Amino acid sequence: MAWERTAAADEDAALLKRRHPEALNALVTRYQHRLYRYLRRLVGDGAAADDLYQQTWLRVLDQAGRYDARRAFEPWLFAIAHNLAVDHLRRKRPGSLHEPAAPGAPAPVEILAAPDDGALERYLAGERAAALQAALDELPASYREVLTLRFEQDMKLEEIAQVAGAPLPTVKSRMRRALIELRSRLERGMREQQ
Amino acid sequence: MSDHERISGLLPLAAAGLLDPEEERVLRRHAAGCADCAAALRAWQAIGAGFAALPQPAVPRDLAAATHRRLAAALSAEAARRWDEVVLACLALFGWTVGLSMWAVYRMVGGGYGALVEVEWAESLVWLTGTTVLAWLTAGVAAVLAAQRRKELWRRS
Ligand SMILES: [Zn+2]
Repeated sequence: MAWERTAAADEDAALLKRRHPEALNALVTRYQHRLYRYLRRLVGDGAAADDLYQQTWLRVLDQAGRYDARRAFEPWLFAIAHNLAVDHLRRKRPGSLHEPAAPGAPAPVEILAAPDDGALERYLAGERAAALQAALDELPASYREVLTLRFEQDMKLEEIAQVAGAPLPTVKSRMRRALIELRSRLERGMREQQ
Repeated sequence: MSDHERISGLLPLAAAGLLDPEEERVLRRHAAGCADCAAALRAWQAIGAGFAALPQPAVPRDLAAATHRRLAAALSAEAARRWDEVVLACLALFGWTVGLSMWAVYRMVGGGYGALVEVEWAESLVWLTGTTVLAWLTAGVAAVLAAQRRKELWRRS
């Protein structure tokens, strides 16, 4: 299923190089859910995500000639959206983008104070969605991005690196820190409820 | 670093399914004999699984249609620009042709076919300057008109 979806998208993407309007419109419709949700997770507000979605496709049209049809379309598309979203965040909320940990800070796994795995598991089973949403909203955008690309968009590490424009090891450690940060926020939320 | 500590460090990425096969194997083997790590792994996996239950923001109903409209406007603006370029090129060509033929006619009226060959350079230079200035003026006006039209199209998109 996922393969079929990607194959059809890549077919339209090959036509895109020739700026075929129907192929372009088909891609716009096909990606409206996934791309919009990615942008929404990244920038938060709906109106901005809406505008960034449209701008992404205008830029796709603009850069269609530079798309290499032998490569996967999806990471290329999401990378364009990423760049526009990053510009937007830089303008609107400078500082919301980057991970808080300074280089040389203690590895975040040590920050977790005596985690109670069982309690967290029960807490998540009960109010998983609301708790996770609240914790996610508090994270810096670069953390939210790798998490949503991995867990909601089901992208591979290489694809995430291409979208975020960062080397693989950076993305891997960002993912690890994002998960640890997410967990510590979940645990804080859990303690506040008790 | 003990085996136990090393395994704890692997757990977040294990929940993301991002361990390499060797790390994955070491983790499984350790967790099979260590209740703490097995419980920790389950907690991390619960976080990963939580994403599937996240509420999904609704896609605005008009999103695809509005995007289609903006793309169509961009494509037609691009076509208009290309058309303007063709028109400008034709106008320039036309201007030069008219200039040259007028010069030929003027010479022939003045002195017959012979005058076409016996060129008087000073007179020709005046003619050439005149037609060039005229051609550039025409092209300038055309460019301003084209730019205005493009701005209009852009505003509508
Ligand atoms: Zn252990």
